[in-house]
Amino acid sequence: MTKFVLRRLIMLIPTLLGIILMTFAIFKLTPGDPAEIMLQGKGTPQQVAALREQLGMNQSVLVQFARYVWRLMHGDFGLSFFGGFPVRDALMARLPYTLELAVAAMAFALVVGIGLGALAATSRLRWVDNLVMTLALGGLAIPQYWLAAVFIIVFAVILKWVPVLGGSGPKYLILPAICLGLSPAASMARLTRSSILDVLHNDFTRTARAKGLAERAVIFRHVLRNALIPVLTVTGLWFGALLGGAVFVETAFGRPGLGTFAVAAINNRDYPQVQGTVVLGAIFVVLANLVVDIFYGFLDPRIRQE
Amino acid sequence: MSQAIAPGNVTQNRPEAIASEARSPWVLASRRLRRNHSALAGLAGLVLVIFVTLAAPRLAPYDPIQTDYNHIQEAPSALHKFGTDDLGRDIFSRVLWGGRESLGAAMLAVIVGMLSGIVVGLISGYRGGMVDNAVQRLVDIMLAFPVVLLMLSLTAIMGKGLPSIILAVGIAYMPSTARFVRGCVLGVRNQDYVEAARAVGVPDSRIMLRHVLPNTWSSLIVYTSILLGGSVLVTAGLSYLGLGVAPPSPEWGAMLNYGRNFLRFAWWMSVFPGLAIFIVVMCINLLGDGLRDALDIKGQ
Repeated sequence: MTKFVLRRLIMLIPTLLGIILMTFAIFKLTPGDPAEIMLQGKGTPQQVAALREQLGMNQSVLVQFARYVWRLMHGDFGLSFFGGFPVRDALMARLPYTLELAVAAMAFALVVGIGLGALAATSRLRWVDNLVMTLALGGLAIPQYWLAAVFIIVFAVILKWVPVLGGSGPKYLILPAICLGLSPAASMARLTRSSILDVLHNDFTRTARAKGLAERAVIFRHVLRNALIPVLTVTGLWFGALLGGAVFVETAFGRPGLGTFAVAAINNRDYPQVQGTVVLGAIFVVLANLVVDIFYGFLDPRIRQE
Repeated sequence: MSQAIAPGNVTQNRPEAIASEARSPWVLASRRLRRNHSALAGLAGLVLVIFVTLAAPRLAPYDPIQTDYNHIQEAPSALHKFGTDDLGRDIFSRVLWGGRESLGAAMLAVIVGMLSGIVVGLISGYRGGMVDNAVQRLVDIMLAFPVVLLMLSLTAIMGKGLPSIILAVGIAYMPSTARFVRGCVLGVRNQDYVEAARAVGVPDSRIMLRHVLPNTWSSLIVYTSILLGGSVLVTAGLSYLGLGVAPPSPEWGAMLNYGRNFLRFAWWMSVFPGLAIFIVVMCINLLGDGLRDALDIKGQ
């Protein structure tokens, strides 16, 4: 197991380097001279030249990339174009809000998605299955930013349970988390259902039934355990989607977080901030997948021996 | 392979029918699709939406950007079915017109993503070896980015506007499409008919386009439907973030963005454009699910 984890960790290095290289390349291709943007077009040619020198922009691209990687390894995400503060500090200030939202949304998605998926698969009533699957399809089709608007109209404007925008604490987390978690929940419900239906026809399920186990025990101890493995794998993939969705949900609810931070940075053309958010987001996705991989290896011994 | 799908009980009385059936899995698929009510509902809904948006100039009761200061922020009524916005513009007309930009952008983005993904995936899967390896590592890296963040940064460097959104979404869809197409190609590459074509000296490019690609169509169609639903959501979403069209022009995402400031006073400004997005995506998903069952493609 240790060897398996170690191998996965080593495999992270090229992926991370690739991500950093790609982000670096994207922002190298950006039109506009950073030095000029930073001086907001007001600098004299001498000032621009001095700033270019200071930013290390006169060195070869290779040296610039090496420096960028070196700085990232030390947790240095560069300085904001405007304001000149370290991007890392700004990111770290926003990160807890987005993580809190993502975790709450994931919890909602897991509970509701697996619950409804299991209900649809095991219910003997055809209409329950149909209803759940239609709801799931609808959940996948609802734009998160629109659902947020509808939630605000219903719960803040009409019912006045929460303020229209802002607010912090668990009470204000519920609506955004449901908005963000709805499409993963719908997707998990569909996956759980089909996965359970697959397992239900397996030999070991028949054996469990044949030896006289109660239906409850069959479902919980034999079926669900096996059926949830594919669902678990998808959880890691969904993490990236949650970070993306957070951009819309945070904007809609006026929540502070990495999403609103990135949108504001784009509107201000503050590229170090955009770049920092993208790198941080990608690192989180890679780490989430690593955790899932390791957990998966833990559950299924065959994976470890590959 | 198609012979295996042909139903056996018809053989005795209708030999000519079996011949045509056996040759055309498409006929069987469309027959299965026609029995699927929810897929048909999705198809009908989608056709209706496309028709209505195309006919917007004739169907819309008002000019979508004409302001009318005598009817500001009016709730839905017989005169204005979906109400009016803060400048007195008719929301119903704007939703009809907006469909052109929203749906057009979403479709173009899918076309960009599919075309680039098909080219990359086809070459990668068919060539194999070093080319495949290099391309797949690149795809791995691109897939590690959270898609929306990738789209955001691409839009950031290309500047605001619908063309940037289309390109950004298309580029962001490229790696997953390439991966998918490669998978399909690998399944077909070593079939006998490809071997045969190679043996008689058909050039690689022709084999790829004439023999490999057509045999992945059914999977590609289903995949396109999945992408399209997502594309409608995300192109309107980027526009919602304020990266899309300039304000007076109606587009569903932009309308939602604009309506955000009026949630307290004019719910109709946000509810109807979003409802339009929801209905379109729902129709696409219903049809996509039906197509997947009809064409018998496993998994997503």
